[in-house]
Amino acid sequence: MEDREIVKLYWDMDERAIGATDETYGAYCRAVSVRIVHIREDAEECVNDAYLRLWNTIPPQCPAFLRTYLGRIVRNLSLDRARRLHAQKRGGGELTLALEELSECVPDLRDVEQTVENAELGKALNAFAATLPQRDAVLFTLRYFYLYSVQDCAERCGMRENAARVALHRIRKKLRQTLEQEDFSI
Amino acid sequence: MTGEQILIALGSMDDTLLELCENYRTPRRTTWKTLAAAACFALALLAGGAAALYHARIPVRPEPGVSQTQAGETAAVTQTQAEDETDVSVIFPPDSQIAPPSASAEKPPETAAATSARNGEANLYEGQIDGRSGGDAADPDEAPAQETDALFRKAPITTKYPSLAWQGRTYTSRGNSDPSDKVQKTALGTAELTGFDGKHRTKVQVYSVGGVSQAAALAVQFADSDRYYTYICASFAPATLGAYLDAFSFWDNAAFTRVSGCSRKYQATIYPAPQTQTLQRLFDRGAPLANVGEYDCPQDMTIDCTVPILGVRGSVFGVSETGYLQCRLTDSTVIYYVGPERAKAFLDTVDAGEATHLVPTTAALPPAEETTRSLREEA
Repeated sequence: MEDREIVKLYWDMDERAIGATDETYGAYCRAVSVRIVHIREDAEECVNDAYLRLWNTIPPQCPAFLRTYLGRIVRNLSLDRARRLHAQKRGGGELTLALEELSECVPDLRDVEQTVENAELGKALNAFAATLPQRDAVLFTLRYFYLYSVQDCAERCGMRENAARVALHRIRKKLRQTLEQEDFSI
Repeated sequence: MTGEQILIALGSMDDTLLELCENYRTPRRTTWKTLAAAACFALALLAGGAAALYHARIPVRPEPGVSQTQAGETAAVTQTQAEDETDVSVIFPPDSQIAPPSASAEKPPETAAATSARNGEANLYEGQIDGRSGGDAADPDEAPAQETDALFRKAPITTKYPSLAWQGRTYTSRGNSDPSDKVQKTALGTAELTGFDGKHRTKVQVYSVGGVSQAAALAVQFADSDRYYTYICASFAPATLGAYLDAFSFWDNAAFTRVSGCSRKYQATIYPAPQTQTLQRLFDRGAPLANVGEYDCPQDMTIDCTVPILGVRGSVFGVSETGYLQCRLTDSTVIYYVGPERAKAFLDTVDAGEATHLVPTTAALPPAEETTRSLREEA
C-alpha cells in the first residue's frame, strides 16, 4: 500500500491503518529496532509502541515520507529502551528504579531546558550534515542514526570497511570542530 | 555534552536526508576480477601489436616464383600498416598544421598519485586518506542526485517548497491547510521559494490571512494554482498565552474535538471535548512563556482540536500536572506556564466526566472530508 493511502487511513482514524503499516513497514521497523536493542522480543515491543505513537501523532502530522517518519520513532523508542536495559545491567534494578523515582522530584523546568538544548543540538547536527558531501552525509546517518555496523555502512556506501572507518573518523573530527565553534561544550 | 546526548539529538535528523539514506544506491563498483581481466586483455592487445610490428620488420625473402620487387612492396605495405597502429607521428609529422588527436592541448595534467605510480612509488594510503576505495568506477554523487530528483518529483507541492522567507522571518508550509475563505484580496508581494533539493525555485504570491497576525502565518499561492496554502512562522512565540492565541484568532477558528489521556494515570482514555468554560479556565491569558522546543513529556492529557485555516488537526495542546501547557499550533512546541492549580483543576474536571471509549474510533471525530480532499488534490 502506498504511503499516502496509509496516512489517509490514519487521518480517517481507521484501525486498518496499523495493519497496513505493519504489512508495509513491519520488517523494516523490526530491523531498525533489533540493531539497537539486540533482543527480538524487545524490538517487537518497540515496534508496537511506535505504532501507538504513530496513531497518536497522525493527525496532526501528515508525513510526506512515512517510512522515515516511522523509522525515526522506532529508532528513538529503541534507543530509550536500550538505555534503560543498559542502566539496569550496570547499576542493578533497584538502584536504577530509585534513581528514576527520584528524578521525578527534579523540577520540570530543567527537563525543558535540557530538551531545548537537545533541540538546538539537533538543529546544529542537521546543519552539519547538510555541509557534508552526499556520501559522507549518508555514511554519517547510517552509522549514527540507524546504528549500522561500520562494515554494513561501508557495504551500503560502496566503500571498503577501512575507508569507511577513516571517513567516519574525519567526519567526527569535523563535527567536533563545528560543535566547538557553535559553543556546545564537549 | 556527552556522546549519548548527540545520539539522542540525532533523533531529529532531517527527513530528506533519512529518505536519501534509505534510497541510497551504491555506485557501480569494478571488482578486482574485472580489472584483472581488463589488464589481461590490454596485455594481449599490446602483445599482438608488438608481434605484428616485429614481423613487419623481418626482411622478406622472395618466395619461389615471386619477384624481388613484389616481395619488397608487400613488406613495405605491412610495415606501414603496423606503423599506422602504433605511431601516429608518422602520419602527423612534427611540422604538420593538423595536430594528432592524442596530442590535444586539453590533455589533463598528470596527478601526483599518477606521477608517483609511474615512478614506482606506491601510495599506501590511497583510498584511505581521500575516503575513496580504489575500485570505484562511477561518480558516487551521481546516483544520490538522481534519487533526490525522483523524490522531488514525487513530493506534494508544499513538501517540495517547505519554507518561505518573508520580512526576516521563516515560515514553514502546512500541506493540508485551507485558508481560502479568509485570504485577503490584495497580495502583500511576491516571494521566491527554494525547493528542498536546493535546485528548484518558484515564485509565489504572498497574502495575509484575515484575523491572523502576519508574524504568525501567511497564505501563499503558487503560480498556475487557485489554491492557497498556509505557511506558519515556526519561531512564533509571544510572551504570553493570550498573545499567542490572539495572533491566530484561535477562538474564532478552532473547534475542540476530544481530550486524550497520555500519562500512566490516564493512558488510553478518551474524553469528550470539554466545555468552553473549562478550557478558558485553563487557557490563562496572562500565562508567561516558559520555553520553546520539542517537549514530548511529561504531559498528562492532550487536547485535540481542528483549525482548518492553519491545517492543524489533532492533539494541539498538552497539559501536565506540573502546570505547563504545550501549544503546537506552529511547528515548534511553545510552552506556557499556567500553574499547577489550573492544570490540576482541568485534569480533574475532564477525568470526572465519563470516558467515552478506550479505543479511538471515528465516532468522536468530525468528518475528515477536508483532509481527504486536500490529500487527494495533492496526489
